[in-house]
Amino acid sequence: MKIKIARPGPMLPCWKPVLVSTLLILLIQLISHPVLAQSKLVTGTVTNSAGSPMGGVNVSVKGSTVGTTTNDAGRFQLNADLGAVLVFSYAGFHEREETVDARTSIEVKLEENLQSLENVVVVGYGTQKKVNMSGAVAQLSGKELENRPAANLTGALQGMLPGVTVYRGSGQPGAEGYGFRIRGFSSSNAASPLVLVDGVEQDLNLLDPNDIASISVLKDASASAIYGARAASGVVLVTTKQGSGGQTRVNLSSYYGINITARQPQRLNSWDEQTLIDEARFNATGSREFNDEQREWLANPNFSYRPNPTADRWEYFGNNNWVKEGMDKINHQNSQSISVSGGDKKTNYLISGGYYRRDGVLRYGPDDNTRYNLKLNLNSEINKYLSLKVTAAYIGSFTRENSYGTEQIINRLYRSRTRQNLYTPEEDVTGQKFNGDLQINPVDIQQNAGMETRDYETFTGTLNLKVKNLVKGLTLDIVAWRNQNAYNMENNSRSLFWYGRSINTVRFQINAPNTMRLIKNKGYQNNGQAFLTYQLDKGDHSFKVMQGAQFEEYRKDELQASAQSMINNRFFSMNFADPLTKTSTDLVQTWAMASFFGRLNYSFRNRYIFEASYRYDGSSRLAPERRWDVFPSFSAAWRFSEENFMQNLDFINEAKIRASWGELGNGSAIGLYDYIPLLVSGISTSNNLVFNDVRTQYIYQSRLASPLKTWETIRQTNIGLDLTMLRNRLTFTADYYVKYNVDMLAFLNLPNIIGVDLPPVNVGKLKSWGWELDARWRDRIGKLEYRVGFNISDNQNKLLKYEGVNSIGSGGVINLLEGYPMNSVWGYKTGGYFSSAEDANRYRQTVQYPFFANYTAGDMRYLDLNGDGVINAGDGTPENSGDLVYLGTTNARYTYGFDLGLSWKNFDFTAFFQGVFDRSFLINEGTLSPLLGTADMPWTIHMDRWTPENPNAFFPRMYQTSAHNFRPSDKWVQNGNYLRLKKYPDWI
Amino acid sequence: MVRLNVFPETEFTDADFWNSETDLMNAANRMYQQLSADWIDNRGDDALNQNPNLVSNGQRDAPNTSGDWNNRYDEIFTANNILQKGGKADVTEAVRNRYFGEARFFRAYAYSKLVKLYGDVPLVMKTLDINSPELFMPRTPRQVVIDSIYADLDFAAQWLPTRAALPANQFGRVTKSTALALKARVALYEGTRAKYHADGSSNWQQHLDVAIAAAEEVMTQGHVLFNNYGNLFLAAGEGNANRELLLVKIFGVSNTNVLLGHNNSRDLENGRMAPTRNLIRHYLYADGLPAWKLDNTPSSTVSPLFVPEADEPSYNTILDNRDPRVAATYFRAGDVAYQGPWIPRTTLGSRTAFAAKKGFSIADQVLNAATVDRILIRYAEVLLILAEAKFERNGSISDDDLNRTINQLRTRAGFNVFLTNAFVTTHNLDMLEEIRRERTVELALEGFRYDDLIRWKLAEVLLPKDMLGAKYIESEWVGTNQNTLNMNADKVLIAEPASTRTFNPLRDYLYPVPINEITLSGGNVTQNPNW
Repeated sequence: MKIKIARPGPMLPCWKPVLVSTLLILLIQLISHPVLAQSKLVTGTVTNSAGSPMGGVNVSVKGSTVGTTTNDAGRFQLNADLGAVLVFSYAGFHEREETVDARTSIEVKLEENLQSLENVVVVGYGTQKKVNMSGAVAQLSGKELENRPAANLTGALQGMLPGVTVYRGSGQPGAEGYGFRIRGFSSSNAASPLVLVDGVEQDLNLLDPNDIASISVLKDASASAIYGARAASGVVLVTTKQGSGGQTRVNLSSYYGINITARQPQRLNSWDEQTLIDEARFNATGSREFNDEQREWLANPNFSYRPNPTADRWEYFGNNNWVKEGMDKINHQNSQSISVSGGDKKTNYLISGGYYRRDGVLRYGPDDNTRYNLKLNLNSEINKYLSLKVTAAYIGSFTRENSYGTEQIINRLYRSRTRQNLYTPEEDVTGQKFNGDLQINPVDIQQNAGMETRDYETFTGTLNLKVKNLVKGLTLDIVAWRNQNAYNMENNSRSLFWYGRSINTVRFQINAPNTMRLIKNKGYQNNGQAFLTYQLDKGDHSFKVMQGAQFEEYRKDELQASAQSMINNRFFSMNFADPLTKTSTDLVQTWAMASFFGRLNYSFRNRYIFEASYRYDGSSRLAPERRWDVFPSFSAAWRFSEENFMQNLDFINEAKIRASWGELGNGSAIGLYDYIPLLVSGISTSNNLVFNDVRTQYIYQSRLASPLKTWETIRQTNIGLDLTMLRNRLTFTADYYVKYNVDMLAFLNLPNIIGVDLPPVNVGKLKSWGWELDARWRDRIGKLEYRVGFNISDNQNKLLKYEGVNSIGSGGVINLLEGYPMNSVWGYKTGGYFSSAEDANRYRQTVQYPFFANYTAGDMRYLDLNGDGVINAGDGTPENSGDLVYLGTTNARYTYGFDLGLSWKNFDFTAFFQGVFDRSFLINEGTLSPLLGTADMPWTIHMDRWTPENPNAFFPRMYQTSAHNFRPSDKWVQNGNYLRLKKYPDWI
Repeated sequence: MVRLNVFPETEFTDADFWNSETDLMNAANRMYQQLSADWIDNRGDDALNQNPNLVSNGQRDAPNTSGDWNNRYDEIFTANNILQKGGKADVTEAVRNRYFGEARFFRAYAYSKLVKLYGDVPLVMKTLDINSPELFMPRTPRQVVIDSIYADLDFAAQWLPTRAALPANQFGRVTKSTALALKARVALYEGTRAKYHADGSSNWQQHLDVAIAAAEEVMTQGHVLFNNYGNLFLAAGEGNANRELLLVKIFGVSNTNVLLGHNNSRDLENGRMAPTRNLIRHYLYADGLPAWKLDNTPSSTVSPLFVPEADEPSYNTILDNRDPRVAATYFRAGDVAYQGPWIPRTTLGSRTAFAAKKGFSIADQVLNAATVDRILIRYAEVLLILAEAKFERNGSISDDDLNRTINQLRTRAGFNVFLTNAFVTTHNLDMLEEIRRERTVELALEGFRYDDLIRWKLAEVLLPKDMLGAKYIESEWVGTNQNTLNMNADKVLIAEPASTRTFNPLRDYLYPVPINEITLSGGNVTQNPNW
């Protein structure tokens, strides 16, 4: 597992540093069962469906390590307790369980697992046999997710499904910002996949991976158009585990892991740091900060400070590794979950509970995230006509962080001078322990700046009533669910002051006066839906019709408040704050949607398959006259393996080609009330207006309304091929798709004389296309089972129309540029560093850098590609980009994953790799350039800088407060490809 | 479906607004919030920032987009929106017109800034929608925009309360005086610009008449100069009691309750308004005589108190025996300044090694939280406008008028040598130069210099010169390595050499129109000459 730690704030932007690997995985899987009786010898025979004996079948006692395999005659024998469950397994066959009872011999028949024929896939408002599917759906079972050492479900998905790309924003516990995209970008605006957990819209990041029974990813328009305006970025349907009746089962799983911060930029010792600072200063200003004697003091362990009485300060010459003092190398994470299931034939239940906790990278906490999951699934067949399913769930996520912010603290740990000692000198009389004379002290901040807590709790209840058999083939589903959540944020920022030699000199301060901030909100989402399904099979014809309606509403009420100057620095309550500093704002967000939807499936002889669906959505976010829109889809499939001409091709078991087309909507980019002209209350913003010594109201319209706005519409076409070959051992799926967002919301580029912010309107157009491939092989050699899987996906996009936005500025990563992929990189071509002043002077005869006149030895040689004698961006457009060239995009084009598995008796070995290639990555100047600001510090990597003695250095010469060597260029565009081992073998 | 009709509950709809006086006031308040404080101006020859200013040194390119353009049109939108919708309010004509007057004042203020920089600009007098054809309008001739400014200000002057009638708790809102003062400022600019740039499309005499009339009218409104020049720019000068204030950007409330703060004291400390010797040369000596002419060449009559620069024995010499406003505007070496005594230096601060004092507050600097109001129009300027406009209009000015204007300023500053026609004649001085000098000195570091150089057509003379700093005296410049300094033969610091500075008179008297405005208008908006 890899973890990027928080991007440390604006001063070290884009530093995507660190990778953290999990090394220790302790996994206990305990499956117990109730009462144990005495042991007996059990014998038996295993045969296949044709009655032939099967050798090499694994026979194990569930929940123990006891097991054996059948001999060539299919026979086995072992000792087991009465009541124990024997598990029979063999690659390519369905697993079977038999309870040890009075029988003297247990005869078992294993059925071949004709996966492609029998697999049932969860789709929108129903299920379908995989064999009858004409859309592109990928499904993952909970078993495949099990034991992946990620406590985050989104993270666990990475590389498992072709076309699904997982990203994350930071490594901060509780704020990892995990997200994923299905088939790349569908829009340049907000567009995340719709995630329904047992039909309830939920955040995938908060689920306990142990609860998952299966995950369906609806990728093409045919599969997802049934979700209409919510489906533009794909739909993920998560099904949680259900009780199965019979014996009461208890399932416990426990996981403990450590995250090690690795490949983290290291700080220099203080004399090397000073050497680089002085080089940078000398090169920029002609003078050094320290003389030789002072630099010697830095290296002298017995001399680390001296008083400076005139300035009432200390001068420090220490050597303090801030990163080591302020960050933990090893961080812990653990999770426990338990589930109990049972019931009888009519009624079953499953109750599960999970606990998860992860620590962050800071050395002094609190800096962690704790999550609790509780869930009850109850199914009951009330009678022949009625069945009821009830789900109740609770999730609580509790995050604690320093009030100053982890990112800011890490930023400071990388910026504070190494020569600044952690503590004040012994003879210091200010009474403070931590030294903040030179710069604020991030370790002091960790320990004493106060805490921020963020608590999020959500309750979900679902009621699902199924009426069936009133008419043969007809079922009615009535579903109601409600999700209610509460959020509570409290930030208590304590004042810290750092003095010079006496308390008369305040050198630095933070949070002065001390401040308290609160955010409290509660929200709910109600959903009521009903749908009828009618299935009719007549001879060669098979019909299935579904028709339904849904209403959904959402509301969030929020209150935010802040206040300053508590009566002391320890006790934080609004009741004890300075009344003049109190502020409060409220926020109500509402939306409602109504929908009608339907689907028709038809198949002829299970060979020719056709499907059509529609969704008619109405949304409160759109003006009443633009409110409703329809999203249709059509798809067809041909199972040509069923045709006569294929019958001689024995090696093909199943073959199908698929094609689909449909329209999807993206509503997430539309604001709640965009069509209404709205006014902003100035007093609720942070831009204060003062009259008569008080904060004064002002009211204005910040943005024009957009009454004509409608959904972004994504038209997607998909063709696919499914193959099962070589006695079902090889399965293969391939898809190609193209999607056009034809009404993408984009900002019109209008003259600024309009004087007000513009709303985005439906004027953009984005094309996104690619292919996916998934192949798996599963077989055995004697008693050794093995499996190999590989998946790869390709995705590209191009912004076909963005209302003429064609500015590449002065280069770098350009998010939106008409005619190019999103996030395109523009930079200069370089030809190494100037080897000498003469070399640079010669070059200057013909080429000027407008951003840095006096370039010299050790500076970057930018190539004057257009030969105009000036290194610049031309007029900043792709057509006239001066010397800037297109250097690729930061979007990974190919993402892939492969896994290997071996099973021998009860040993199981799995390894899983995931990677991307064809991706550019521009390291930005603020990250690379040491001393861009005089307070930015160089790191160990910067020791490899250009000097006359080191002309082949990686970094240019040191130079402070100028990034002229770090302009976007091919030098700083790095290959963003990677391959990661995501799962290590674990032995059970 | 009715249940799809959900409406905002914590945001107000425009349709429900514009009903009462409170609504009008709240809408007008947005203009005070948008009002920019214009703290730092490094475009002239008076003060340098930490890095060269590209307007000042002639190195700028036409930008793609610019706040100088965009922010003004944002302000104009606010004003037009009020004027368009405020009619709905159920209030008396006087109330409505007072807020309309505020709107028209701020619209005029925005256009006056635009015209100063760009000349002709699109004159937008109503709010536009994304489909409005007016979005692609060409630039409106300067004179038409100026006439619109005059009309807006006349309306504002008619309906805004007088200074005396403005309730104390409304201090900060614009008054009749504010509108008239702005009118005088615009008219002086237009008149002198047309005169010195020989712009035949504009009747400069008429503009100067407007300036004189407007300034005269302000002078009937009961304004007086604040009693202390140095304190005028500190907390002591704030508030309704100071009748010199005509327009301020209000900051507040205090160092410990910062509702709206600024960083001016830190900026001064960090050399973002580092005064130049070019500016300091203009101050008169204590005997009322100059040493330098307005074009920064030695004047024919030189005060005996003047010490040639090559002979200055000390950093402080140039600050000795001068107009008392020198002492209120610059720190001397050894003065307790930003962080302890001022030691001349160029690192980590002033590039000229001169230390600006005007408006510096040690309390603000220490707490990093300044709330002193920013003065944008003050009565002293009105007096200077009157003096200059009268002289420019008539070629002469009476001692009486000088006593009403410039000599008032000298009295307040404690400078007891008065400017009279006799003094000028006796010492062979030039009255216009002395009037302009008074303006330069009184308003030093307040953001007037660049505009003045433009309208006087002196930018081409003064901007391409060496930007000079303090005198280098080794014993006083503790900690500075002489080798790192660029100095002239007199051992005076050259903060920016003339060789790096240029001014193209055929181009630089107007700003370049942002390129996006030209392209996005489909070419209807055109670029200024030679850009």
